[in-house]
Amino acid sequence: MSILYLMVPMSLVLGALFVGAFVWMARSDQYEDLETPASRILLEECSDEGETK
Amino acid sequence: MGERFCCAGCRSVYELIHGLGLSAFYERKKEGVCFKPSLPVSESDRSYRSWDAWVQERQTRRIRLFARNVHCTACLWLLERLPRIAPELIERSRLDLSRSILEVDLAPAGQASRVGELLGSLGYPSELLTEPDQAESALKKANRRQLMDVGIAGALAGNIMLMSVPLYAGAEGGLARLFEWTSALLALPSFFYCGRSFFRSSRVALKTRGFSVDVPIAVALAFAFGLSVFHLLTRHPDLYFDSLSMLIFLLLGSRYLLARLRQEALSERGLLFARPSVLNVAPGARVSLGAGDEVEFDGVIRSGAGWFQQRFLTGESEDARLSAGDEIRAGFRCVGVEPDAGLVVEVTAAGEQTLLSRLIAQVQRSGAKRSRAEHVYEAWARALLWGVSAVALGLVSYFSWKGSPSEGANRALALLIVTCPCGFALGVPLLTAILNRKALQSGLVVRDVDFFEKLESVSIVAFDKTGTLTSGKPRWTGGACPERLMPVLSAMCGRSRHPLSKTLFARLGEQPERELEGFTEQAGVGLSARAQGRGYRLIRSESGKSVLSAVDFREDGTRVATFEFQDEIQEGASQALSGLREKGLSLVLLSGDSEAAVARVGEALGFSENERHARLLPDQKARWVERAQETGGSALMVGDGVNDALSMKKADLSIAVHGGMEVALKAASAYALNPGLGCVKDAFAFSRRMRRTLAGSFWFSTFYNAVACGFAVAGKMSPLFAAVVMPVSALSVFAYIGFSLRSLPLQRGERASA
Repeated sequence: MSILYLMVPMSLVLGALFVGAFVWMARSDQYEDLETPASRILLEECSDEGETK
Repeated sequence: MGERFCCAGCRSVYELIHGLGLSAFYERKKEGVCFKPSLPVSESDRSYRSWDAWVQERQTRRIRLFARNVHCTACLWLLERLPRIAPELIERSRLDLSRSILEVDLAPAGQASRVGELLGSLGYPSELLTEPDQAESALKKANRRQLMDVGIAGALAGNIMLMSVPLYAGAEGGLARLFEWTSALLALPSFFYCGRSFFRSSRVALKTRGFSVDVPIAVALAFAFGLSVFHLLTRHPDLYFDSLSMLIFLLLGSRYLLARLRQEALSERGLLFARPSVLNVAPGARVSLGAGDEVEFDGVIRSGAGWFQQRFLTGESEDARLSAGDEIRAGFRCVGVEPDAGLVVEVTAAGEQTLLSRLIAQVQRSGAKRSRAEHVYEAWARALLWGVSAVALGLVSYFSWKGSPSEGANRALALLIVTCPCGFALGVPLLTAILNRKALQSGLVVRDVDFFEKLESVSIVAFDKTGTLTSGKPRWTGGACPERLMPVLSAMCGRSRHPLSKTLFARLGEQPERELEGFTEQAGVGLSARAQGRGYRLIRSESGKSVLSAVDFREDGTRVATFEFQDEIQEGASQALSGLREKGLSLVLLSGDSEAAVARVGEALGFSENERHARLLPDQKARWVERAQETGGSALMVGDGVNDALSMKKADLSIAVHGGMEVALKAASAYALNPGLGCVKDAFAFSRRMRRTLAGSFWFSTFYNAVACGFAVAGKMSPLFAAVVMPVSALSVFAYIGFSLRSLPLQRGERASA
């Protein structure tokens, strides 16, 4: 059971990483517009092809 | 290729894309067509000159536009490729598809007005968003902060819960210490960082000797935290870090959700986009207007004459001819200027002082008001909280006196946590927000926050006739014009914008051109002109008996023809009215029209002799409504605007059907976006549902609190159990409200969203 002394801090570090990622996402406005980027990513590719043709 | 298009916008987009050699897009889209039908586009005559003035004044290169008709990925593709289409104008463009907001960076030589013209020609008529950026970015920042708080609180609560599981499972010794201290460590940011808003707002409430729901929450949180720290240090096994962090998370989460719902409801009214004056003109200045200009100030025409579209402000669908001496308002659009006389307007009010700006301000204020229901239930929550706090204090002192303070603390804490009325305190605003949104979807803009609540007590519904029960569009039912006079009549009617003239003009069809001299149109009287040496007049007839209206056509004073018109009954009016009668409401018809016309419409719609009243002037209508209120309780007035404004104000509630925004905002408590009476029936269904839902959640909440308090006081409930039950109760109130409103009948929803 003494492995828990290692695992608990590790789980906390992992959790902190996720919270950090979440804060970063919120700060960089990724939750502002949930619809457009999903469509945009399809179009970028489409237009590149159009140019190379 | 034989493509089909949903709108002119998509066609021009298609042509443009082909022209630019970017047609790969359409190869991707196998259908080759756009997807949703859209509004007709007729914006090519519009001038965007005022945009340049705004850009210059703000010294900015970045403009934000509300682009109409944006609805699919093709629009996104095209609008974000604007820099390639017009590199001399636009440096960068970015679209927010869900909100239809386009952000454009102008190229050094680019003019905002030309961007507007380009967008207009592509089929995306746009509005410049001129709200102060600070206000919006502040709102955005606040939203982001709230979201971050919710996320962090959730992560902490989840981890603390995990840490607590071994403790409840019976961990002992060093391991127990490890989990206890870890959860305490995690509770620190949850309590001090995420919970700060509760402490801040309750400090403000206490300072102003007020009271808010946050006060007992803050007390309970502080108490639980202090006691847990004390137990941690004294190695007592009862810790409440888990309950406390979960409580914080749930409260923050529901508050965030509510705030977003409210903001959405407000911005969906479209009024955030209404544009007050941006031009820098002072009252007294003289401004000349051209065709296509939007009027951005209130003023009086000094010379010349022009045609104005005033739909936005008055709801009048016909363009009006205004000349020297007439008033014009911000929000009008000049659609044409009479040749040979320039149109000069003297400004009487600009900026914040225009009628339009004041109306917008009024709407924004009313959005922030609290409803009566919220006040009532806040009072209920307050009484509950004071009572519970007193009982908790009593428990602590009683058990301290008996020598077991920890038992007292336990029971008091369980009580404080379990009776948290937040499920209800938050549920009522949630209900109001959802209901207003639903109403909007069915085409009803609600201005009065208590609208649905007051509607429940309405027993009399008064209807206006023309434009409300009838369509307001006349139909030619009788009278013929002698063949030889047709060209003259056609020429006269073609010059007039009156609905009757338009009907006649359309009915006459193609006629040879005829020169007119001295054409005049007098509102409420008729038209007159001279042609080939004879005088012609088209005037309201006195002989009309069984019809809505009749006009005489006179040649040199002798009557040559009489035309009769009827107004058609609104589609679906009959069903809507019988639906209301089934609900036990008494209906009356108040009209300014002749007895005969009122009788015809009244009989068709089932109004009996003493339920219909003809020849009422606006103030008589209002007096009638007052008398009805004295004898029979609350009255709802349904009218279409101008001549009903007075009676709408007098009535307890009023719905403006297809009326002007000006009237609607001033007098009516709700405003219907779509023609027809379906929304009136909907409104009653909504109000009934709202009362039932409120009563349901009230009784549920009361019952739950009574039972839970009993258990807590009797010591049968541990604080942990209380912490689990509390959010469950709050969530079940939310779920109940959501479920109850989900099945609301929405007869007109599709049409409104199309």
